[in-house]
Amino acid sequence: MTATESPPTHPVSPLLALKPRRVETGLLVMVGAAVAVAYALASFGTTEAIPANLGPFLLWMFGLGAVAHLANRHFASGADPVFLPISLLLNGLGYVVITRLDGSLAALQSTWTAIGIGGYVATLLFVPRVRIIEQYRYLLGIGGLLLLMIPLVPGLGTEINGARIWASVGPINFQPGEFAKLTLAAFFAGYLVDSRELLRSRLELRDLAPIGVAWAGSLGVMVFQRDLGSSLLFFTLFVVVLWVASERWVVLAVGAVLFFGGAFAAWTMFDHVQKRVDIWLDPFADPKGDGFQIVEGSFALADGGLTGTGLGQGEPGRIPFAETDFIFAAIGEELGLAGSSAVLMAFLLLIGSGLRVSLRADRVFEKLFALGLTTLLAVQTFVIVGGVLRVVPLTGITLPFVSYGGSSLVANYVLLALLVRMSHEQRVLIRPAKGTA
Amino acid sequence: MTDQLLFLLRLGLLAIVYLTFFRVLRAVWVELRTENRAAVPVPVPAAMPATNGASSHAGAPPPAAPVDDSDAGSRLVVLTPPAVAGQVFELQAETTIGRASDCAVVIDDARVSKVHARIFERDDRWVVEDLGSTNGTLVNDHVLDHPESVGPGDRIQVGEHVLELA
Repeated sequence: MTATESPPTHPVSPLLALKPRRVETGLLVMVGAAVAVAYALASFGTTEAIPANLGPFLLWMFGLGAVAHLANRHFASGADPVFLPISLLLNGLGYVVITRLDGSLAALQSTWTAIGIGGYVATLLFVPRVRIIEQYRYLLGIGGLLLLMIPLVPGLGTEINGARIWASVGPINFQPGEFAKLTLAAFFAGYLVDSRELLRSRLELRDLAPIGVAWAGSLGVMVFQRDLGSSLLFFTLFVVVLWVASERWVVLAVGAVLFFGGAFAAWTMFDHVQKRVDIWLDPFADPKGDGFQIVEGSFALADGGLTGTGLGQGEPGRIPFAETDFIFAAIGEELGLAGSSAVLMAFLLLIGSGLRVSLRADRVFEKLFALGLTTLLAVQTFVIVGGVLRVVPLTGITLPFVSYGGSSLVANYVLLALLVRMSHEQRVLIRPAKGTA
Repeated sequence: MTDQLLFLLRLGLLAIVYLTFFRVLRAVWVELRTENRAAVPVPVPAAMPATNGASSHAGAPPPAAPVDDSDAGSRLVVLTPPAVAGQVFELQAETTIGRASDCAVVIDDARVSKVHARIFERDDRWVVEDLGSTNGTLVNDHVLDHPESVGPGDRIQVGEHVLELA
């Protein structure tokens, strides 16, 4: 505590507080280069000309990246440097493919990206410590349920493509469910902190009641909103968080039994579920009708080969919903196995970083919350990529950060900011106590 | 010609993306390694408070931090209230302070949260952190809003209880 102290005795601030941001800067420059090349390539592939708006595009993109990076430097200087660059890479690649598929979506998607970055910065600004979220767990839980129910309210809710998951306020359509994911993850984590000791000491049938409630809730989402993807997402989220909180394998077993029971019941009761499963088992039974989307998606992936047809040079526009549900197939066609594997690797790195935050957390709430948020990313990626690749029956859900869609993009940036915030909190910034120096 | 150029550019794009992943993995690797190295000396002084630490720090930089000097600064002494004054607690690698019975330092005071604060070791220093307690933690009469390092003589107050690091 004298002025003669050499650096080794005070190793924390330079090593842990500054270096992550320097690493992040380097990664962001590489991501920027990759997205710029992709954008130029896509434009050149379609029109054989260097895009006229390359300048403004680069300015916009680097501007948004810089804003988020500066926010990290200011509000989360110790956070893991992996989160932001990888998300921006996914977002940027998605944007390039979306504009290449449908130029009219370009302005909308870039606006949504800006709002997403705004949400990211605002979350870092207004959530200085994630533990304050714990205090509002019940409020957030109720809020999440209300958000889920908004689309069912006549006059507010809108049914688009058979799923009643949209709410319309004036000209703006959004999916409240995307934000319900986040508030419910906070609620599950907070609720399980309270009941954790009880769950760990003994596990009786009535302690499993919450799984039952979550299960019934997910089934409700599926029945009333006809949204298989979200229903699966919520149920998996709850079972995984409950499993880690209780440290009991039986939770996974009960969860699996309930899941397959529910899936079977849904299969026998609902036509649209039966149709999904039939398409999954044999899409070529009706390649021009029901199986059209999956068949075209498979053709696109096959066309792509190892390195793809080239951005702008394939025909992913044939696939219905190529810019949302089937964006993975579009990337697979134009960038090939190498490109689609890159997308999967990016998610792997993102999910790995999220799980590291959860592992390192020394408070239970942060541990479960980080786990829940990461589970949301992971399950969502698995469900849609698995659906496109015919590993599981297809359920329409967005590929986080990549797919076109405002609600999803903004919600995922908020999710990212929460993980970044927790990652930052785990770095103890040591400063000498006043009065001792 | 243009096709070949586009193909090369595409390979370039993929190369940049995979290079980014490689850098990410390297960053993660470096971070984990630094953390492990930093973690090595941590348990030593806490586990063996009686030794002088010199022998166990063969490869480490010369200890300058208070924790290593001797066993000074590795105990908490209760100053007030008079009923429990003089009680001594040895600091562990992590010492939790609170009302709950599984805390290392149990304080029976309604103004103290169940798990109120903790003292842990980081880079050869003791660090005090408030764990989101209702009524806060004071270090030398200022409110702790941030983990802070403390040394011998520093006073930590939770509720009505004042503990001194000795």
